[in-house]
Amino acid sequence: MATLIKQELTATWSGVRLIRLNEQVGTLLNEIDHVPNVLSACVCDNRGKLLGALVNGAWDAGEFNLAGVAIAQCFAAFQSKTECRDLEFRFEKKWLYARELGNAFVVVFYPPEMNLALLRMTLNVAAATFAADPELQKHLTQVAASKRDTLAHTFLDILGAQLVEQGNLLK
Amino acid sequence: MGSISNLSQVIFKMSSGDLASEINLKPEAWRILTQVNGGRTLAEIAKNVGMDEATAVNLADTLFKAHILEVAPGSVQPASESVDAKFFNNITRELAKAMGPLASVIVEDEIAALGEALENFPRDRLADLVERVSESIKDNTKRLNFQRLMLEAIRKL
Repeated sequence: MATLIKQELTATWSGVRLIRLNEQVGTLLNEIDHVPNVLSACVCDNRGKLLGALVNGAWDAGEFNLAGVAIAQCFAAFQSKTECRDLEFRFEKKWLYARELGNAFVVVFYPPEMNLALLRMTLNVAAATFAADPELQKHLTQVAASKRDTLAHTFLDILGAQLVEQGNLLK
Repeated sequence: MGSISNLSQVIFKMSSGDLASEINLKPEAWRILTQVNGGRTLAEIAKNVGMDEATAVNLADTLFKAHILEVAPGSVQPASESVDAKFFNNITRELAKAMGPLASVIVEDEIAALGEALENFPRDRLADLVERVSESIKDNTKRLNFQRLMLEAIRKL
C-alpha cells in the first residue's frame, strides 16, 4: 500500500486553496495507486514544484522536485513547437510517464513491465477532473504561471541556456 | 486463477535483474525460493518442501509477478489469464451507446488487429483493446465516460 504525501500549509497554499488542492491531488494519486506496478507518482506545478506524491517506502522531496523541474522544462520545450500532452522517458529499469494537467502535471514512475495502456486510460479518467477544475487551475496559475518560466536562465545551466536559445524555444 | 492454471508445470529460475523496490517475503515463500534452481518444476518443488501444490502455485505467482522469479529456458510458459466472453458483451453494449450500431464490428476488428481471439483474449491486453476501440468515439466526453466505465469493469475482473 503506497503512502500519499499531501501539500503542507505554506504561504502560497493555505485555507480553501490547500483543501481543494489536496482533494484533487489525492483523488488523482489514489486512482494511479490502483494501477499494478506503479513505483511512485507525483504531481507538480508549472515550475516543477512538488504538490503531492504517492510513494512506496523512503522518499525524498528533493528528488521529486529535481525531476519536476526537468519535466516542466521538457513540456515547455516541446510545447513551444507542437502540442504535447504526454511524455515518456526510459532510464534503464525505471521508466516514467508524464501527463499534462492544465497548469500542473503528474509524473508516474514504473518498471518496464507496466501495462501502459491501463496507465494511460487511468490518467485519462483521473486527470480529466483535475484539469477541468477552474478554481484549482486559477490558483495554480497564480502560483506558477507557465511551464515556459522554467526555460529562463535561472533554471538552466550554460549548455541548457544555449540549447534554448539555439532552438528558439522562447520566441 | 486462470493465469496460473499451468504454473505447477513451469520451471523457474531466480531473476537476473535488479528488483525495482524493497520487498518482504513470507517464510513459505523463502521455502520455495530455496528450491528454485532452474531445473525443477514448481510441482516438484512443492513436493520437496512438503507444501500443497495450490499454495506453492499462489506463492510462485506472487514471486513471479514481483520479478523475483523468471521462467527458466526450456520451461513451459505460464498461461495468460483469459477474459470471460461475457465481458465483451459489456464492452460492445457501452461502445454502442457511445458510437452506434457498428460497435460489435469494431470490437471484433480490434480484437483481430491485436492478433487475439475473443474465446481466449488475455486479460492483460484488455486495456489495449479498450484504448483502441475508444478511438472510434469522436465525442471527447463520451470517450472519457466509456473509458471510465471500462476501467471500473477491468478492476472488478
